[in-house]
Amino acid sequence: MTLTHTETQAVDLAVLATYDDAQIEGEPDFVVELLDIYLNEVPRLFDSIRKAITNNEGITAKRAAHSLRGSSGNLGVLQMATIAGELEHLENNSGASATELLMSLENEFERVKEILNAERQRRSP
Amino acid sequence: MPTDSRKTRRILIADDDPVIRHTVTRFVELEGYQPVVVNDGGAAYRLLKTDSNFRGAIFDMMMPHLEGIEVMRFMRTERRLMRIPVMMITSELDLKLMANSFAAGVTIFLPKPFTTDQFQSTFRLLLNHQLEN
Repeated sequence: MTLTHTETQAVDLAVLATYDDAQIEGEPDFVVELLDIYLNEVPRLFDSIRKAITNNEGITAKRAAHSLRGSSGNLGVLQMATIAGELEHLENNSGASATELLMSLENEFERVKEILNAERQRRSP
Repeated sequence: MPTDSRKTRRILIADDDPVIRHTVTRFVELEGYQPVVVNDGGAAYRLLKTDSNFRGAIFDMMMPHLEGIEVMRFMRTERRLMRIPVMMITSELDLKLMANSFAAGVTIFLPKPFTTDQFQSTFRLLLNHQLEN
């Protein structure tokens, strides 16, 4: 079975810019803090999904995909949020389709990392 | 004797997602309140067993160990906690689930993804609700 996703923008930087409203003067850049947390968290979630698929633990994969969808969506990482949502709502969260979606997520994350690291660099050279 | 939760500025936040947790913590600070942050429902439950001094609570619906809704159900059975209003953050816009959650005592929902403005409006409604009761 081949899964297809509607192609959407990788990162909507306008969403990130809305967090500038939450910047406190004199404090570290809030968006950079969020990006650092996200960039550290995503590989951990991938690892959790990968192990859950190997051990046939659908509920663990579903939870990790849910978390990935939430944080991606809130940071405007749109395509990752879409694919994570597909994985979360699979009937079998640890089957072959889940493996395929995890690969899609990992590929997409390579693209996302470049964009987010560039944004990080722009804000905190 | 129950604490008068209208006098405190402490807000309990429980979310296992570090991005959402960091975001909500900052938004609560910007509203002039003091966030008390835990990483999951189990930690929230343990804290609430001994500490009821909260003006409001913000829970993620889906958390490991104990779901937000289960923590809230516990709060509604305890006299010292039952007046604390609860905001539930969720990415599931299932009407039946929401109706059941309101029936169980959720004060207000905040759907993910959310913006600064959406959080601010929902948070203010949460705290106003408490003052009306």
